[in-house]
Amino acid sequence: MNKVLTTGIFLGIAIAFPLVMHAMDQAFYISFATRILIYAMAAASLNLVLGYGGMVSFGHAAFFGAGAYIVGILAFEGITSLWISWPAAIAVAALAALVIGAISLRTRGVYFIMITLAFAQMMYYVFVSLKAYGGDDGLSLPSRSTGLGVSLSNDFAWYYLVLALLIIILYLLHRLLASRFGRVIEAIRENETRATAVGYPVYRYQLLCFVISGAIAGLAGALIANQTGYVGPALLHWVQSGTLMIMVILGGVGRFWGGPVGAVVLLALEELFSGSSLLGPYSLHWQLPVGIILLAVVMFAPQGIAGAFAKKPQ
Amino acid sequence: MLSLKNLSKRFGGVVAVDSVSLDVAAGEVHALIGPNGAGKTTLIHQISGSLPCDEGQITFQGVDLTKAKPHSRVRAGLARSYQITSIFRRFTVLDNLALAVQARSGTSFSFWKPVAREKALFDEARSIAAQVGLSGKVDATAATLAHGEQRSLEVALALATRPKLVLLDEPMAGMGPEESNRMIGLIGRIRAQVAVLLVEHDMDAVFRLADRISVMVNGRLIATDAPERIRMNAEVRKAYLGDELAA
Repeated sequence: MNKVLTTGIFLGIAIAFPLVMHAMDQAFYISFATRILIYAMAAASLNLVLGYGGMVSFGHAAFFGAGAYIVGILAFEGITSLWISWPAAIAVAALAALVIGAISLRTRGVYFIMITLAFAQMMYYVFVSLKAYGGDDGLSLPSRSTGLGVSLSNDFAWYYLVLALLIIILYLLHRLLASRFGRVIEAIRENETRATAVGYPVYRYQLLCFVISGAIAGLAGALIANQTGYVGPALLHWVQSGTLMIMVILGGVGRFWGGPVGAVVLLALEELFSGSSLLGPYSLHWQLPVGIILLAVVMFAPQGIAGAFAKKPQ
Repeated sequence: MLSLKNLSKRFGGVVAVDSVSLDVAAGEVHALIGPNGAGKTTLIHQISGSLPCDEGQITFQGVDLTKAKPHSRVRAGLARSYQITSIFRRFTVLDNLALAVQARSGTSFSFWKPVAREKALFDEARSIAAQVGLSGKVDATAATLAHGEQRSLEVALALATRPKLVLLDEPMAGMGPEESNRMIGLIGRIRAQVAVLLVEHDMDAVFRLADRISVMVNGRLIATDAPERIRMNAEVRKAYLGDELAA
């Protein structure tokens, strides 16, 4: 299947989905699909550092959660315009990525995984102890962000806005990965020693990649705050970092569609098994079937779902 | 061109490089020989910047590079190859070389324009591939190349940075006689444009190529001289060459 066709099919499904659901009187699924799109963006941002940059960040929830909290806190303080709160969310997430990355990228391997995890947990406890903004209980948003002239409380408008942003982000990533910068990032993943030996200042490239990824995660965070109308410390918890990582692994590490595909499949599986329609009373234990499927994918499709469908092995 | 003054490197109590002073002149092939464990590769690591110097000074074309970062040394014209092949294994040969060319042509903090459209990069990568005899393999993934071809790519990556001096750490390692001959031919051809500091165990290659030879034993340089005089040097014969040349 050629790339343009695949992209076209994905795009067609994404555009038609709310209309079909509306016609079928299943409007609930529009909101569910919006959540998937937001996680697709967050997972794509993680795939940039993890899959393409070879930097196994186990603290990506920090940037996701920071973006969400900025929108929550600004709304709590009365600033609801997305022209202010979203750029602020992106900027703060990027800044957090700059600081965390600047320190973490001096380490490698397991140490890098552990130090990114540690930083994310530190941020988690910062927000837990932030009593002014709800502490443990988090913060409810009075309404969705404003500033576009249409009410984003309308699920259709909200869905299409998120979809448009996801498309823009994926296109930017697509350009980035084919650019000079993208080639260098992949070269460093392949062989850091040699990348240095042909004259690249490896640290600077990795740090910038980390910041770009953090900024995108921050935008996804701003969106999830609007989506759920609530921000809480759980958004920054390491389990959230793990969920994003599972999405990337499931979808395909270092595959362009890895993040989005992983988000769709994981969230759809969760929805399927945690609802009572399929498993009845056993739906309480939905993690078990989801876990078994994850295990099967990792064993039989080590390149992830997107990798299994790609022609060219990598 | 390259000048080392009293360079030292200790690992704990072991002195790997012991106050080494050495000059490589422009246009020269300077061979560095010595038994295993003499500290040759450690010295190369120090010159390329992957290991810091405990003592001493490195100047290259009049500039003090003792504390310079490895990538800035490459930009200054000091490239290296590795004893153990170090290439971008999942990239094609052409992409390997284009990446090295890219490093010295314009900024790589460029995020929008597809690199595939930069014809100049790939043209130059092709000409470097031709120079090392890899023209027929440009579209092959580096990992699929034969050992000798990977060694050629290793050297080509260093040459692609367009260095003024190249440090070649055992370029013939693990090569058969025919491949070695090809590598000797390659080094013979590049010497017109670039000075070479050659670490090599293949004495045939060393004596065919070198203008001068330095002999390193237990971290110290015991002699630097023209090949025919190194052959005659009693201390060198005793310490290292002995049997091989007596035959």
